[in-house]
Amino acid sequence: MTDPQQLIHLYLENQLTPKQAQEFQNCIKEDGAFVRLFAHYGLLNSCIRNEFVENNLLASLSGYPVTQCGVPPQPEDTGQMASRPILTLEEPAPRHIHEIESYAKTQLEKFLAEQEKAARINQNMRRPFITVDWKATLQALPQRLDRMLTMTRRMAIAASIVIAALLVVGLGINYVLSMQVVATLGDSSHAVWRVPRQEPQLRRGSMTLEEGYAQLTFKQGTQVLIQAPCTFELQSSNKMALENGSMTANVPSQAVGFTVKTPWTTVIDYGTEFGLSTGQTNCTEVHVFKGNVCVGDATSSRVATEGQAAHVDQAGRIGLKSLDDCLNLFVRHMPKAGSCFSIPGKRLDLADVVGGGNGFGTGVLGRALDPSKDSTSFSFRAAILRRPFNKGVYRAASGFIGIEKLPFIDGIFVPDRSEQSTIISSTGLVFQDCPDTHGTYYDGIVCGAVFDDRKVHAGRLAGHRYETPEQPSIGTCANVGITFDLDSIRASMSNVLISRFRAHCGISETLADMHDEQIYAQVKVTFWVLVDGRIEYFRELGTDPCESDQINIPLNPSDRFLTLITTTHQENLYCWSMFAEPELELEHKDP
Amino acid sequence: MKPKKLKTNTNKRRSITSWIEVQTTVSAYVRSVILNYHDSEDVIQNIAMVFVDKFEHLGSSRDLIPWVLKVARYEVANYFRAQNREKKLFDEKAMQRIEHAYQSIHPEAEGVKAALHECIKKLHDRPRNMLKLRYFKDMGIGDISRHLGISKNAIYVMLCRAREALANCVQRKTNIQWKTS
Repeated sequence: MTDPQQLIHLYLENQLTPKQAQEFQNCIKEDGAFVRLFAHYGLLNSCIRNEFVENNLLASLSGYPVTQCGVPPQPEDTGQMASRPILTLEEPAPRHIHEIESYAKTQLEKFLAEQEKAARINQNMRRPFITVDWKATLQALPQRLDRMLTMTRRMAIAASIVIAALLVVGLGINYVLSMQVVATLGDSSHAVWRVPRQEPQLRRGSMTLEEGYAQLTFKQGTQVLIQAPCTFELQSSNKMALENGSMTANVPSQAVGFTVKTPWTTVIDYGTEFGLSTGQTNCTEVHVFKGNVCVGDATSSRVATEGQAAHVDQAGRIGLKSLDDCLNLFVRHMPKAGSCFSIPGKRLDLADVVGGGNGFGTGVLGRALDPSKDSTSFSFRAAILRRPFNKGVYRAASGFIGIEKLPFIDGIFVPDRSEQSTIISSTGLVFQDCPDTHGTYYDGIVCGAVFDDRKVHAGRLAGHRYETPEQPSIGTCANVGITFDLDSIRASMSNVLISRFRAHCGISETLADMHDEQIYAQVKVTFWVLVDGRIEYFRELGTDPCESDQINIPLNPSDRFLTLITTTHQENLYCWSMFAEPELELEHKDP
Repeated sequence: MKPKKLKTNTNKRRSITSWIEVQTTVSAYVRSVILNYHDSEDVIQNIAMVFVDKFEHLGSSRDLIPWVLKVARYEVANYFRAQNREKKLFDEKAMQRIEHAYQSIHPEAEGVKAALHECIKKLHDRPRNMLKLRYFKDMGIGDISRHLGISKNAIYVMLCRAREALANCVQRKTNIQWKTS
């Protein structure tokens, strides 16, 4: 028989051997005292967890916001648990507090001195009072009453002076606070503010960035990168509210406790780098790149650690998952001037979306979507190429493939006339006029059109090479199709309209550099653009002479699926087709 | 749903206050049958949701604890079902017995919590850091052993001793002996 306490400890540490587990089960079922003991230890266990994870230790750290998340973890964990220096989150600044205190103190001292004086007078009066008989006492009474009244009056005056002083100082502080600079505006890229900004000093209040990126540095040291469209409010030198939009924050150790409120929840930082996005309709998403953050409110809260993402839904429910399972939502560094094609609030890059990004440069060049079901559908192009060749051509396993990992992409497919191969969306939209294509494809859909004959090279249209993130492109060697989910792109941004799709399409001119003119001459690819299954654009482009074309299609708020397709009747070797600078044009919508 | 700041009506506030009353016991119950930290927090969160939602329908019957523990048992059962583990440590009957035990010790819960708050301050740094790794960092014995370079057995013994010391201190402070036999 194992000792009952021992059994419980073993259970709590998940160390029961099968035999002990059996014993434990029997005890629970048969021994009432054991169950009670188990409950006691369970209660103790849970309370210990609360002590460490939840709020109790916080009480000793006055000044720190009391949530259920507990003490901010220290960077190196081997240190002591003893309370650290107090962290002041809220203004007023200590200087002002000191001013009030010292003023109140002098007033109080004055008051006490007065009182002492009055007491002395009183004492002088008292000595004769004790010896004098009743008659004298009665005679002295009016005088005494008068003195007492004077004293009370003095006390009242002194008290009102203190109160008035406090009021004046308090109002003054309020005024000072409203004028106080809480953050400064740093670098920006293509930034367009709703109310144009003249000076870099930022005071409390609400701001809206309509286009581009802006960097703010809070007075306490936190650096915040705002991505348009974004409406936020600066609340103090270490606190802000994000009404809608996306931001990333880099919080140095002296600013631990940096707090962001969203309409759905509150995020408190424990010294980290994290990304936060929120909206009125979509909920709050927090990605933790370094350190820990606490997400939640008084009723429930969770700590998200490095590499985790917290999602807060409309009911306030907080879910945690690994960052590996999330879309790269956040631009973490200010893009260098002129180094990016996409501009938040103005132009979204679809090639970046193909690369697993948010459309603003978080995608990875060279990443590809492979429309064959027997492999993971999202990999690097090199990985696709390494797989064994089948006469240089791959055959798709089956119809439409949804890409759940990338919410902006509904799915991919290899178009063909057969019944199964004409489905182009998860809702079952059909590409009615799909031509015969043999149902084969070569490379998949790649972020960055790169091709290879004797050496790997970037695609070229009308003399322009597309090889860097500033000149993005999607490689779509026929026959492939990709459907973007515009609704889910819209949901990631607040107050933005997708007004237009633009791209430059054609077959890479580098094909002309090939010596085999016969191959070169015969390549012909048809480019298609469909909106909700309707054909909005199609054109066959060849390579003799090299042809390319501009696509420009207006989009309505009700349009959900944008589909890009390339098809060819030929053997699809050397069908180096591509969509260059594929963009969604964005416009502000007045809230 | 509207954003949170708009929805704090009195009823909700009342339900939240009541939740705080039962939270200690419910969390203890869930955490003692679901050892995985994140899973248990998920389940507790679900229970809190049901609690706040259904609170107003509870009417005048203020027998909160039996009711909320029943809700908890369903949620835990749901969790186990979703986990689909082949062999479960607790069957239906065991779960019921544990639930009853928690019901009967509920009046002690706040006392234990308060006593522990004092007791934990008295712990030496070493065991306290160990508990911190175990509970705050959510590390298992294996993780702690790797982290500190101490054998698993030593870690286990130290954790047990720390918990045992806290158990004794709490029993002294609350003046309630846990062991009945």
